[in-house]
Amino acid sequence: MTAETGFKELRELLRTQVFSSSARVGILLALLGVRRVTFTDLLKATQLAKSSLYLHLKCLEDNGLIKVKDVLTPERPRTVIELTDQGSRAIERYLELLKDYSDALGLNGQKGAWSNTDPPGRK
Amino acid sequence: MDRSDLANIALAEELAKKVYYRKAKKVMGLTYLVTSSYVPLTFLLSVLFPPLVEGSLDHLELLVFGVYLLVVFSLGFQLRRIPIVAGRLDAIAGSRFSSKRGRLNRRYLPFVFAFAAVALGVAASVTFGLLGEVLGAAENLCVLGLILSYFDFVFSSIKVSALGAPDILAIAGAIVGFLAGTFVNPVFFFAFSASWFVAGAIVTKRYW
Repeated sequence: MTAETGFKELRELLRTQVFSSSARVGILLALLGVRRVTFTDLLKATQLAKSSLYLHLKCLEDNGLIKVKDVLTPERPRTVIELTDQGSRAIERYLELLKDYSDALGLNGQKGAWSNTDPPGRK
Repeated sequence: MDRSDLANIALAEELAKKVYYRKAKKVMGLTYLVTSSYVPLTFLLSVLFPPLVEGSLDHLELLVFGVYLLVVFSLGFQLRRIPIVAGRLDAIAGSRFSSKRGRLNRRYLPFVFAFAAVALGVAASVTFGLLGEVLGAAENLCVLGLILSYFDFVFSSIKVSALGAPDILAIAGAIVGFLAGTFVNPVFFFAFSASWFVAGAIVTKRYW
């Protein structure tokens, strides 16, 4: 695959409902690192509004990227969020494309590189 | 695609790292609590089950030690992906810190050292008798140090400092407890347990 094809795929990915939102990408990245997390932990850690977090999770679940299930614990029922295989593949692919883009532009090692650089195809 | 799309990754990374931090703190608190129960449990075992056959208590303590290591290892194992993902994010977005600490080949290193230290300690206590007790205490301190260094490794990968007041209490308690417990009076081993219990209770309460 050429770099241009990769950039095109990245551009298209960034236009999708899931990857256009930093909160949704953040949730997927968090789940990539910890695999499963409770709703309460996610809410407290991200400090997003409850309704907002619920909508982000709903969107990710509707796209088949996460699984939300209620689990009984000795204390109380907890809502647990898990990354699906599809979700894992999607976020891995997103990271690969970003890495390729970063390598192509030689951004590695530059603090805050994303916010200071024009994206590909932008004149 | 415009600049704001790409800036999203920085915001997403920040959000993900907050979740990693909370999870790591939670696991750290649980580790403190689990480890703190080791000394009281072995003391209780020595009272409840005086050795019927010479050396049987040693074997029981060894078994308990192994179980504790396994539990602590499985707790730490939950965090194994954090340094890897954080390292990948650093490689993408760029960072003023080195991302080498989060690489795959170093993530199990603390545990490899921990098991090596245990094996050496066991061999020393069997071979050298009294000297073995000193070596055993040193080995326990090494294991505790390795547990803490593993958490430090995880926290470093997400660019935060792990060292809060409860952690300083835990470090001080381990040093004082094991040194004074070995050279002054075994009752000081409980100082280690108490400090780790308090540290664990504080951290767990805050992040549960």
